[in-house]
Amino acid sequence: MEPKQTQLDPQAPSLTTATATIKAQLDLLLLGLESLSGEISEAVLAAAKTLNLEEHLGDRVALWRLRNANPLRRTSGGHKKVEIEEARALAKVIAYLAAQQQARIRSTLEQLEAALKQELSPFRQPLVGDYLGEFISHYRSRMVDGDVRDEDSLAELALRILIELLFYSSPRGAERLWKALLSRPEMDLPAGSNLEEGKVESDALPSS
Amino acid sequence: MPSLTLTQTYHQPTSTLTVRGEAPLPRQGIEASATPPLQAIQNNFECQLEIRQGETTKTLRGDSVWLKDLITVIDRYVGFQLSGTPKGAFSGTVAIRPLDFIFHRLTVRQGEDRIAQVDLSMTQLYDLLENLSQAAEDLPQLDKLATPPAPAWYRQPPVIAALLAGGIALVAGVGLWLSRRDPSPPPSSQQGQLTVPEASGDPQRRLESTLAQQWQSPPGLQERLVYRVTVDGTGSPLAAEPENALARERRATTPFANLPEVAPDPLPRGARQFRVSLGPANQVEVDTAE
Repeated sequence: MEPKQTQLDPQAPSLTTATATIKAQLDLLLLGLESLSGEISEAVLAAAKTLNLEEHLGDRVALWRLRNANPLRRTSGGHKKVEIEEARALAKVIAYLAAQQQARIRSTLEQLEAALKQELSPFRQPLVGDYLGEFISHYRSRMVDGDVRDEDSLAELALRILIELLFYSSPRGAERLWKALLSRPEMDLPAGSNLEEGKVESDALPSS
Repeated sequence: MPSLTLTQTYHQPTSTLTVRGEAPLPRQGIEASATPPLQAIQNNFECQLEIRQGETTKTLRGDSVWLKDLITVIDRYVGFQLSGTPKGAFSGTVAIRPLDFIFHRLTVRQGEDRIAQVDLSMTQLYDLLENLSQAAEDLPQLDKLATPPAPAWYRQPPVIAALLAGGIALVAGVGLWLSRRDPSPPPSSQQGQLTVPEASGDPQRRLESTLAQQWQSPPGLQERLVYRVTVDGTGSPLAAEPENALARERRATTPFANLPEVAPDPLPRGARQFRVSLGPANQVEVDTAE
C-alpha cells in the first residue's frame, strides 16, 4: 500500500504543531539512542542546557510529555499537543546526542555491513545484536503494536533508525533531521493507537 | 591574466574529495599575503573523488558540472532515504539507486566513453555526502564555472536514467536475514532477500524483451548488425560494442545509440555480456557472449 502523503509543505510556515509522524519519529530516534547507550533522560536534559533549549526541555516532566505524545506509545498520547518549536528543539538535541555517539553508531553500522556482505545474521554480531536486543525490548514494552509486530519487522525498524542516526550525527545533522521530518509521508498508525488511520488529529493540522 | 591554482582536499574515513581550479593572482600588498578562498576559483575546475573499498580505491574524476550533479543527486537521494521513501535519483552524469537495505549503486559518466560504477555501503554513502556537503558550502560559484564543451550524448539524462532501471522505486527489506531463529546458512542473495525485486528476472530474457520492443529495422537493411552488449544484473544495457562494420555504421539507428562502447571496468556485480544480432524485419537474437 502506498504511504499517505503528508499535505505539509516542507517549508510550511503555517505549521504550528507537530504531526503524529513527527512525534513518533522523534521518539523512535530517542529510543535508538537509548538502545545504544542506556538511559537517556539525563543526557537529553544536559544537551538541552548546552544548546540553550531549556525553555522547551527544562525537566523530566517536559521530556516525558514530549516522548509520550508519540501516538505509538501505550501511554499515549497522540492527542498531546507538541508545539513545532518543541519538536524542533528535540530534533536539535537528538542530532547533538547522535554526534556524541557517532563512533558507536558507526561501529555498529560497519559491523552490520560486514555481516550482510558475508551473509551472516546481524543478531550474531556483538554490537548489532546488543542494539537490536535493546531496541526490540524497549519497543515491545512501550509501543501499542509491540506485542503484535514480528521480530524481523522490529529489527528492520531498529536498523533504519540506526542508519538515520548516522546521518544526523553530522555537523549538518540537525538541519538534515528537520528537513526529513517535514518531508516524511504521514504514517499509518497501528490498531490500538489513539490516532488510528481515518481519525484526524486536530493538532496535527497546520493552522490555516 | 596571471593565475593561481587552488586546491582543497576533503577527507572522510572511506572517501577523499579533491577540488582544484584557477583563480586570478591576487594583487601585490596585503591581498597577496593570504591564500584566496576556493570561492575565488574561476577557471579550469576539476575534481577527483577517491572511494576506498577494503584494500582497493576507486577513483572518479570530473568537471564542475559533474561535481554539481554529484552533489545534487547524492543530497536528493539521501533525502529520500531519510524521509522514509527510498528510491533512485539521477541527473545528466550521475545516477544512484538502492541495491538493498544497506547498499547502493552509484553510476557516473567518466569522459566520453566510460561509465563507472561503485557500490556503496551506508557508511560510505555518509562519508561521500559529508565531503560533498562541505565542498558545496565552499564553492557557491559552482553553477557559474565554465565547462569544457562535451559531445551531446555526454549529458543525456535518459541515458544515465536508464541505468536506474529495475531499482528506482523499490527496495528489498532485510527480511529473513535478520532472523535469529535460523542457525543454518542464510539463503543466497539470488534467492531474493537482498535483491531488488525487479532484478530477479533473467537478464538475457529481459534484454531480449526490451530489444524486441525497441528495434525497428530501417528499410533496405539486408545484413545483421552485431554487438557485444554488457548488461547489469537487471538486464539493463550498460555498453554496446559493434562487432561488424555495418553495426558500427548503423549504431545511431539502434537502441544502443546513446550507450558507450566500452563496458565499465571492472564490471559491476551481476553484470553479463551477450552477443546481440539485430536483423531485417525487426529480428532480434540474443546469445551468451563467448
